[in-house]
Amino acid sequence: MEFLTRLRNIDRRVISTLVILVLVLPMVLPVHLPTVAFPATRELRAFIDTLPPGKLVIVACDWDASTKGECQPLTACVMDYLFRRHQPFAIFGLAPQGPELAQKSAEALALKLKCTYGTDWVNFGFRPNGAQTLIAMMNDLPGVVKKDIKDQPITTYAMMKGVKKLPDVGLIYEVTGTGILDAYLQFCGGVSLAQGCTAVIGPEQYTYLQSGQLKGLLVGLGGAAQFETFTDFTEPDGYKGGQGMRGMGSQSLGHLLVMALIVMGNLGVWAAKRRPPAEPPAPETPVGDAA
Amino acid sequence: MDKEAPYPPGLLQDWLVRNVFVHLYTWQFWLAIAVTVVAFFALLYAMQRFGSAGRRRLTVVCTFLAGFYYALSFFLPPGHTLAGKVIAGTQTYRFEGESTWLRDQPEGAPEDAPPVPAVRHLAGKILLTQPVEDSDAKDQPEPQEGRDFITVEGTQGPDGSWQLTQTTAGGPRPLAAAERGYSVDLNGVAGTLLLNPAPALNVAKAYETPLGNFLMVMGSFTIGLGVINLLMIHGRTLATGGSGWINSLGFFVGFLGMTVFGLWQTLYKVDPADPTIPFAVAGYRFFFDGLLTPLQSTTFALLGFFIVSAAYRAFRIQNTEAALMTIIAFVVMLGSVPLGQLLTAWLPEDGPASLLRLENVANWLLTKPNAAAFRGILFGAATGGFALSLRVWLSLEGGAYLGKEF
Repeated sequence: MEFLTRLRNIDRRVISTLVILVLVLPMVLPVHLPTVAFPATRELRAFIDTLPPGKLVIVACDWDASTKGECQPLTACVMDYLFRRHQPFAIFGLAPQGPELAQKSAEALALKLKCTYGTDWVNFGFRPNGAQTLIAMMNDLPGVVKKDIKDQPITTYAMMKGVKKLPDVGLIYEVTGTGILDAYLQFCGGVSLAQGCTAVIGPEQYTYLQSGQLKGLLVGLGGAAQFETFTDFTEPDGYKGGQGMRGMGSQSLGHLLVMALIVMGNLGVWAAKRRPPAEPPAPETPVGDAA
Repeated sequence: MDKEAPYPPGLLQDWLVRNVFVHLYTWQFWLAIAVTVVAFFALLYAMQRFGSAGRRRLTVVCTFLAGFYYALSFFLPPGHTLAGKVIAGTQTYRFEGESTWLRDQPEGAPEDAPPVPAVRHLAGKILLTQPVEDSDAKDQPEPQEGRDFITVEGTQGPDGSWQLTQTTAGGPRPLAAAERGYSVDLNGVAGTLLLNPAPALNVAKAYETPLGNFLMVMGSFTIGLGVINLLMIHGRTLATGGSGWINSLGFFVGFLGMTVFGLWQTLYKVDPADPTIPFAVAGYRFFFDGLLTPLQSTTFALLGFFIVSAAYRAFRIQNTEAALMTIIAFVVMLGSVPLGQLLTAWLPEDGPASLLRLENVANWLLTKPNAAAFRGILFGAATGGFALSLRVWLSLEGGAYLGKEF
């Protein structure tokens, strides 16, 4: 019982060590864990499949290095599928680092799938002032974006033909760890939206999925892993899956650790309640009174 | 300026483009820049002289005007829809159309040529058969010109009347103006087209793009403002050798390194196939990929330790609600990861029993009860946001820049 009682107050250094162990162990000893795609994941792929050939997709990378662990796999898995479908897409971001970090992913994927910048994808770069930028892009996309990160007017690319305003694109796939989706929902009426988001804001986004405002939703690293599995993502070395799938071992063990700790904490509380109250100390006999 | 727009020209747009926002070259260009810079500093000086009450009043006026503009732009009808009907004897057919405003610049006109007046164009269809509404009916034949619909196109003259044509097998046929509308030929049957154009009152919409660009520039200035602030604070600490001066030194190294290499590397084009990279690119990669990215990721990753520790200490099952929440949390956590999904992988993938698979239960919890709860929260937050927006717009809010002296 004493041991159980101690479980209610495990030192945070022990917890931190356990976290490191369960996250690092699957990285050192990788295990391929198949995952099941949620309907929201399947809906995203189904929607992309309905896009006409040549229809532009905007991959809005509204994330930075702090949420790279989740957002980069979420961006890469969809870009990989778009590359394989030869669906042209444009990287764009309302966060300064997003388009640059996504560019690195796109270049690596393009090298793997032999795709070309300017034909299969372009990068519009970062634009500040989210809401006003989106409002202006709804009326005149080339007028707002003007040039890509390579300093070329975007109208010179053949893939941009017919894209005069945001409603002309087939889909905006927005990846973020913040609540910026609200701006897209408010100001991009009539444009099909889908989202990839960090797990911490995931529960909020299901509201928009249920209402039909989102055509698909990928939540956290698990969402990326689901999309990778569902679209047969393959690394150049033949590994079935990408960064999402590679992270599933750590995430699985991490979730199990959290659950185990919650159970242990509650066992400790339960044991403390059942412990008999400590006996009051015996009255002390004054020394030397006997005489 | 848009050559084609789904809304009418903005208020004074043509006049402004002809007289104010004109292309300037050589000395005129540099003179305009010099005047702008002088005007900018004069404005800054004037604002300093205004005192805090004057600046507050200016902020209030600017906030109201900006909000008023966007409210106008949102509420005024753009007039891009054109509904109507065709009456042919006892039959009535629906007409659906859209209008755009086009500026047909002459072929070969220079880019900086003054804009020609925008003309409202119409493109619509007289629907002879009702379109199939059932989206599942994919095997339905494509609607055909002449049989299912007749195309009508045209332009609006300065007096408001339309010059319309209908598409026929023999080519475009002009529509003559009738008593109440326009005479159309519905495959040998005479009819009258009655147009009901939406009022095109939106004189603000056309300015959304230039205003968006203006705000992007302003947004970039605010980044510069933040940089100046950081430089002043850390420069002072470094100069006086105050506590934490080593952090200020770190800031300067990071800031200067990123700025110098960030600008320098734009001069080079790197071939991914070439293993040698220029020094500037290597320096930029060191600062961006080697320092900034891992530092930000590491800072955010610390949250993971706090979340686990907090979950351990906070999830105490003291009553029924807490027990329910814990069970649901366990189901969602297990259903979201492959290891958890394996626990119920023995259940069939289809049929009623599949509903008990952990991933399906987790998905149901997230998409149904969770979505309902969040929608309630969002409604509350949106109502609060609306009230706050109104307070900010009308300067009733007592926060920074509006209620405080600065």
